[in-house]
Amino acid sequence: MWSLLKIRWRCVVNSLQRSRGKNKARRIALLIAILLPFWFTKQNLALFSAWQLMPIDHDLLIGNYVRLSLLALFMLLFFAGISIAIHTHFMAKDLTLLMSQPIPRWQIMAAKQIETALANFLLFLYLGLPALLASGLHHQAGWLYYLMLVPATLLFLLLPTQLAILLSSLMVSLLSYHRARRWAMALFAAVLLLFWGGFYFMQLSRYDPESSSFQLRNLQNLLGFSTGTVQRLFPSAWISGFLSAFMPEGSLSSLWPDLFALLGGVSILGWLAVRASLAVWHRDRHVAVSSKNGVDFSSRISSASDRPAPLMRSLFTKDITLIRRDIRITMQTAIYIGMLCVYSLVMPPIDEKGFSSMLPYVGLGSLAGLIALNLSALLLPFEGLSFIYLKSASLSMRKIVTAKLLTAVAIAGIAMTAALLILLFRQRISLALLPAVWSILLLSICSASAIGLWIGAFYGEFKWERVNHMLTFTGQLFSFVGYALYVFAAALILAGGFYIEMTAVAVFLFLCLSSAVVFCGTLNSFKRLDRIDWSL
Amino acid sequence: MIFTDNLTKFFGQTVAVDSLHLEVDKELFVFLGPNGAGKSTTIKMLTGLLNPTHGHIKIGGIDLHRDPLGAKQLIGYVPEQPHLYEKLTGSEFVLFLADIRRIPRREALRRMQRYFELFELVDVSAGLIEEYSHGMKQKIALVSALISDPQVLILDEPTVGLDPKSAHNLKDLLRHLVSRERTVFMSTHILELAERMCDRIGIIHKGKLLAVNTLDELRRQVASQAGTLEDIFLQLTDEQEPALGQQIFKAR
Repeated sequence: MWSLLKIRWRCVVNSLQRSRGKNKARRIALLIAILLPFWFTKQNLALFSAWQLMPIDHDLLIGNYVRLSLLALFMLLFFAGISIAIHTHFMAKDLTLLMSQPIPRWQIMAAKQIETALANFLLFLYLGLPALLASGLHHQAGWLYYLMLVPATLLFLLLPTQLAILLSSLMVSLLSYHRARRWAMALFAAVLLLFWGGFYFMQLSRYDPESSSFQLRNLQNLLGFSTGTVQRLFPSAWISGFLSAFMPEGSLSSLWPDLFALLGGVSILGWLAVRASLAVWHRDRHVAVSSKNGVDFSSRISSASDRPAPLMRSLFTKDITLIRRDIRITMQTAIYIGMLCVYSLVMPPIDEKGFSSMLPYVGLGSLAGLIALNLSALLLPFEGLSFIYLKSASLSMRKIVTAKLLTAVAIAGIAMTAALLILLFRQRISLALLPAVWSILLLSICSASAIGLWIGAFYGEFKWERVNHMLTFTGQLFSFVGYALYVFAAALILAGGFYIEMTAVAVFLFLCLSSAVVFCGTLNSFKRLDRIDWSL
Repeated sequence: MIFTDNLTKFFGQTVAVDSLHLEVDKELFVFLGPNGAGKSTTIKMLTGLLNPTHGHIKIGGIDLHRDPLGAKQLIGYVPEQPHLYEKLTGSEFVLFLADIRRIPRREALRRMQRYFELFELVDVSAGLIEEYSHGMKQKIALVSALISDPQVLILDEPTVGLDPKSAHNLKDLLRHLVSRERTVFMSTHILELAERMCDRIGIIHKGKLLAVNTLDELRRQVASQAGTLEDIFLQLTDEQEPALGQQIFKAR
């Protein structure tokens, strides 16, 4: 089993060492990725210091905060783990090779469990570790606390993973692997949306405009969390209980119940997960395609046109079909659109005068632009290795890039129009404003799409198999930085023009900026695609 | 129809293809070579997927560098690995490629029906490609290359993954295309296939074209009248290999 894990580790190290773009930008991105958890830790520490000044039991509050964070993380790890488990346990390409080797199969599945848990590690690194580190630093814990963090982390990661494997085994026993993975991703996206919606709607200031965003009542509610006995049943309480034994005021004798709970949970769930996944593996594998899945050629030929289909329409239809059938992109886009509509629905009354009257539109435009950016950045790498067929066809890259720009703008544009109409109707704003605002927002969406295409052409992975990484990390970072710079510049121009009462000039400058971004983005994108050496 | 002059490709310091001169016209040309010899790199340059470091390529008299779209219009290409759009159905994929080749929809459907029947794909044509086996994907890649009735058909290991009947049908089809004055350029590892159906053979090794001729001429060239293509291939590429193999077995 150690050999199986070692070889996976070697694969990760090799891919990091030999991956494309081993340059300064990549190093900076990696440095930011490493430093980010420490920055989160610093933020948590600042929060804990602020709580210390309040007339409440701050130690209990910090404990509950850590437990709640870990509980939320546990849920996320569980739901994220289902699709990862379906991939690693049933769809990974190395499984056929491994299963044919003289290795006990339970060892393969156990190694796959650890692989799945480690695949979830990034979530823990950014959402769980900062709270635990800050808690240790705040209580001035000794080195043993930090040492114990390592096994505690592994046990904590394993528990939701094993539950996810159990559920994934059930899903693939009922559905095909691909369909099960699509449903698992949809479930994860829905959970993310629920989390976001929950946090958004739970803000007290949203219902009570007079109150500030800070409420002592909220903290008191958080204090009451530990009184619930149900929370003791969750592994989040076990890990925090286990680690608190290594705090200065903790006693080692109190760690045993939580340690037994963690170890017992991991052992029992691990055994069940191995049995369940092996049971599914030993089942008859699903048949490739239904034998009654043919096209009725005679009726289609008789109704077909004698002319070629319009090229742009074919490219556009193909992209829309691929997006529609890919649950990852569909759910991601649905989440953004959901956020956009909620944003318009819960918007407080807009000021009639002053620059603040523009801010809601800036927010709406930025969110709609984010949808376009995200979509267009993925649309090129989304092609995967199939792009070879477009590249070898007598088809200008300019047309491909334009079709992708149109696809991203169409989807984001429809979402933006819907959100804008909601905003205007809810705020009882004159519809006469609609054409001007709509045009400006659409132009900003076009710019965001162009930035996305630009980044996508340079930082696309062009690998279909890498489910979560169709854009490199550097590419993701650059796309958001590029877009943030554009939004900042556009907002500065519009706000400046508004303040010096030269709105027409500001709009003209905004038009120039956006047109330049669209031109540069699409030009660089198709030039890059033209130049790309297809040494795959 | 295919003309290359001094075609060279460097990957860093490594020469993948070295000063390749080729002329292939209205024939079935088979490109042979050991792994890493430069076959796929040559094919990728012929289809415009890789830019040559030096040299020129002309397809149907059109310079691939100067007028890539015009040259590519004449080419049908079957890559080594059939990486298709997994979320499209087989028929959607073929129709999409017919659209970007500007083939009238009715004609595209007629051709698609014919090829789907030939390769026994009709029953699965409405299923998503992600559910297809490797052989079925390979057949879809073949149909999508044939759908535009190209003047030049370039195939990189086309028989890998095909069932015997489909492989047989493909051989017949390729011969039929050549009889209709099409040019077929094919790389393969299957020497028996090359021996039986090709007009001329090119043998490439370490990026250099060692020999281009008919099988009979090649036999004469290497002075092994009774030898098979395998003997000729081994003699031209690396004479040491069989001896090394025998040594390994003797040592055991």
